[in-house]
Amino acid sequence: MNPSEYLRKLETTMLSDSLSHNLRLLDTIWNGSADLIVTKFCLGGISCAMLSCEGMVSSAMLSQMVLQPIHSIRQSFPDGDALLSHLSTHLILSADRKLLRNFAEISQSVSAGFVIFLADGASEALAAAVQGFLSRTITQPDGEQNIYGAKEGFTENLPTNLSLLRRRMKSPLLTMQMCTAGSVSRTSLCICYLQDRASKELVAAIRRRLEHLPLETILSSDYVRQFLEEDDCHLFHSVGTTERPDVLCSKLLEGRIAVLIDGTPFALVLPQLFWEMFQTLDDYNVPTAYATLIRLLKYAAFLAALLLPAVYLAIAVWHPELLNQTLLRILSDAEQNAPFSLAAELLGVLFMFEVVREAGIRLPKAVGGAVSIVGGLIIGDAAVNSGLVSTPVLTVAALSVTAGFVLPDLHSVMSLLRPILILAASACGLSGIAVLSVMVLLNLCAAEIYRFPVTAPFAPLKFSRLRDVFVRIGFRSLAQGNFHVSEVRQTHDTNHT
Amino acid sequence: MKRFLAVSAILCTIFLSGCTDIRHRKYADVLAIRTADSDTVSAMLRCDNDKDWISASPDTALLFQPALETAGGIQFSTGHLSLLILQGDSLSPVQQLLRDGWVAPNCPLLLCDPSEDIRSVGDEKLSDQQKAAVENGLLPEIGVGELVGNLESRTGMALLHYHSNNHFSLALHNGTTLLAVLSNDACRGAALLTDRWGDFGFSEISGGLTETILLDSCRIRFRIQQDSENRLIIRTIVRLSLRTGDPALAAQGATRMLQAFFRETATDFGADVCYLEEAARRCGITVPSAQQWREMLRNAAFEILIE
Amino acid sequence: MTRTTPEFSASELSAVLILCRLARFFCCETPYSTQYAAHMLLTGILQAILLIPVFLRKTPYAVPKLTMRILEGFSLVLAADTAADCYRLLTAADAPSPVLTMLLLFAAVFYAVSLPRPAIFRASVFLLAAAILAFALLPLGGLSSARILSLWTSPPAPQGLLSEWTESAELALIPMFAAAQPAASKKAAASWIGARCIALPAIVLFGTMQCGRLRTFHGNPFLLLLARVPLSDALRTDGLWLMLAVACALLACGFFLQSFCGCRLRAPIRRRTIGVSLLFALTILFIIYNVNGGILACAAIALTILQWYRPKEASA
Repeated sequence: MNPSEYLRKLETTMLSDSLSHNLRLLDTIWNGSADLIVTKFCLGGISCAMLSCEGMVSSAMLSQMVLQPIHSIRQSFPDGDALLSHLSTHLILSADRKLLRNFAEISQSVSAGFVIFLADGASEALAAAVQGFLSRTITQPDGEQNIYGAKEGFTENLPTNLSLLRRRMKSPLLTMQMCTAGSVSRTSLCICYLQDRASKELVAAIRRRLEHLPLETILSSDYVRQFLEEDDCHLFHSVGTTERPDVLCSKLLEGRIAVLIDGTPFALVLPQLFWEMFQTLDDYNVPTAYATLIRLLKYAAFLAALLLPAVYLAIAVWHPELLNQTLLRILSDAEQNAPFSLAAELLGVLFMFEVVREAGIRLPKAVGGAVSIVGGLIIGDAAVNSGLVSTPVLTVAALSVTAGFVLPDLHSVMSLLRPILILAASACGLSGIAVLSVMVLLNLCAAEIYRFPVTAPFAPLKFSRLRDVFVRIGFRSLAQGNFHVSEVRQTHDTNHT
Repeated sequence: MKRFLAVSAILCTIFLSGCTDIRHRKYADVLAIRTADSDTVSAMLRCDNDKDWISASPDTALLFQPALETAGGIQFSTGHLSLLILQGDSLSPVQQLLRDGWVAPNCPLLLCDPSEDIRSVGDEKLSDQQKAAVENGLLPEIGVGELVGNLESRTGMALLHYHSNNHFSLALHNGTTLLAVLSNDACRGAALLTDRWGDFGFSEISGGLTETILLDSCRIRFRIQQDSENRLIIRTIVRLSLRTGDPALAAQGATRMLQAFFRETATDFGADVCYLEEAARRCGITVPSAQQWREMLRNAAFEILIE
Repeated sequence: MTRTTPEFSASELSAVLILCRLARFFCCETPYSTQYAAHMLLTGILQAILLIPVFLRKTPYAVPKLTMRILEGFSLVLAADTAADCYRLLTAADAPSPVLTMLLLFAAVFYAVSLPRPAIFRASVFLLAAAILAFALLPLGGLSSARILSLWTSPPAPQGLLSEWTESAELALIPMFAAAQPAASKKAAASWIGARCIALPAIVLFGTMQCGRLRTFHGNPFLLLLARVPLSDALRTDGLWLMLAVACALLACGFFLQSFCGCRLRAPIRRRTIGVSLLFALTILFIIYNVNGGILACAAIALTILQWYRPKEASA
């Protein structure tokens, strides 16, 4: 039986009045799992059992909010339902209490850190939240550093993440809808949006898609991201991620929808427009002119990272007349003794950079420094001194890779496209680069997510909304007429539904 | 997925069939083409940083590259040619080289005296000397494009730099014959007309004293009229901007140079090398056939007005 | 839910129409002269007059089926002609491996056609912005070397009046788009006329001032203009302009071919496109007069693979 069918069966299996029957069934469902703790006792003359998951509940909270109150019971109760009702209404101090009716709910609640009360003669169970599992503290996100912004980032705990959002957006308009996904993992997801700005139709569409995810487990946000995007063939993501609650709040204010996933610190934001990959929160913490300069620098860095090696190759091999004589002489002298073709050199150097980079990520921090030494000194310096690689090639490749570090979100695209552009340049020169660049541009322009073109507001052109794309205008102007992402959504032709 | 495979297959076919090694080539610095009487052509090439010349005798001027590459045993590129030297009467190789893109329109060129040995003349300094002469207003800036454009104009004559006995001047050429070598004053007058120099200095004698004149800029306009006998009256209105020197002496010197230029080109040969035809058209004068235009220029009266 | 109505904004349609004209402009071999600029302006005014019905129309209308078929067939010819012009430009500019570049162009054009229609329109906006930036920088290198008297140089032969009509033939396709979206098409047509009557003649006049009496160089006057106006002593830009020209030609071919295929937004390309594309390739080869067996073979392979292109339907 597959997990979905099993889950459906559990959902239809209701609690019975008999405590022993319920416990036997639970034992069967959990297969004698060692972390399920079953405590039997008698309360008010009725046999009861308390279920909890080891490591998921806080002993202190359990003691203070549950055990101490229930031990003050002196009276008797006619049946289990009455007992549970009394516990829920008068004794248990946990803020989050609910009644459970089937074994699926019980299993899920126990796994989520609830303590479950079963009573003989009761056809329902009482769940009380006393979570106390250990999780990572709130720290600065590694991947989205900022100089002037807050130093808090999301963690793997969904309620903590929701609290980070709620603290920054104390508005009742901020809506959080919970759902679960993953037929085995039953991971909790939360759809967050501002109800006066986000399209209800879009929220419903996203919810439908999340609820029908054909995944057994969700271990990271990218599992979900790929199903929210409309096409696998697009090079650029139309669903963004962020680790920062402040960034997420700014996106929600523009009418976007966020999906937070339990167990991963990356929130998904959709729709993501292409230009947002060049925006950081620091852009809004510095003077306008400097922010504009940095923004333009990023665009230039993107083009340099993508095109510099290919353009260098095309010019050096096919179009040397584009360079001035002095530069040409330097390059020509450097390449005279190189044993490999320029294309092979460039591809080899870029390959080595990727290898070193990947090694730097995977290695333990203790030996991470060795990667720098090996990569920089041994490979770079020795390769040049031995004449295997020429200095201009190494310089160009290093410039290109360094420029790529300015935009970590686009690293995968750049790493993929660089070698292809180099091959095109070696075959067809600058014309080949032009053709391939247009193909990449077409791929970008074809990307849409829920009828939001990724290239908006530049294409389709909304001139007034370009004020935060290539430049960053002053805050006084920016504050007048805030950008709502719904402005760029393509209209739907109802006649052709 | 199929689409990706299809596009990848096509791209791989294209790229892998076209991958090329870096071409070990040299970059030509100076190219010399010599045409002799019996239509034989010889070509010589000096590459950047080399002292030696590579020589060959192609069948036609356009075949210079394969001939020189065979003689030199190396590929070369003419994209950075700093000087094109010609020797001989015919300028047709230049027109062919330009049309087929072997030389850039801005490439400087030099006509050498037939008695000179190009190997000794065409050293590294020649190109720099020529640039310095242009920069100092001794010669106008003339590239291959300018030359070919004038040869294709109505009068079919053009000016080009001329080198003889270690001296630079201007030659008037009609494509097949060297017509005249201009005097120093005429050369400077031609340079004055183009206003593409850095420093234009000259000396004038006044009252037994030599005074140095330095010009900042020179703007020239032509006003052309026809008198009752259909004779052209070409007024050259010159606006000089002086850096140092007496304005009267500057005007005197400029007038002398321009008069020498017009006399030695338009009056003596009916040559239109400074866009007089265009100026006439702008002034509403109908330009007749080439022969008539040359006659009109020969008979034209030139007036120089200095502002 | 499938959208079947083509959607483009005025700016997108303007961009693609202007790029089509720009692509032909780069490839044109008419020498620059004042007369050519005047003919351009005159033709633009006449074309503006012809477009008056488009400007006056306010509501969508249906183009008769036969007219639509004729216009679609004309689009194929335009696509092939543009591709042939591009090949000529690559050959004239001594670009490396023109045949390989054309094969790559074919692959790119087929890819463009397989995408939903808005992709080409949106990409045109990007490319037009790049072109405007490039043309804004062009005079920087040429202001000092411009010679105003050159504007009165007589051209070697009467230039431009007939060729202007053939090179701005995308005019005939405007009614196709005006049928569905008259408001956007009006603005697009106005922008196209503006570019034709102001920007292009200005570039031609600038080129005339730069080139002086020189009229022939590689047969392509734009290359001559570039040769006369390097951006600086350190940097020549001919190769970079060639990139722009090839990119414009690619988008123009894609646009024309999509118009020929009668592609509606997100509708699957039918198998008749195989025959269509074969026709496209053969037309190019015929126009180029330079049938290369390799091109034909590779084009046939590409076309066979094309039948696997099936753009996905729009999701709800």
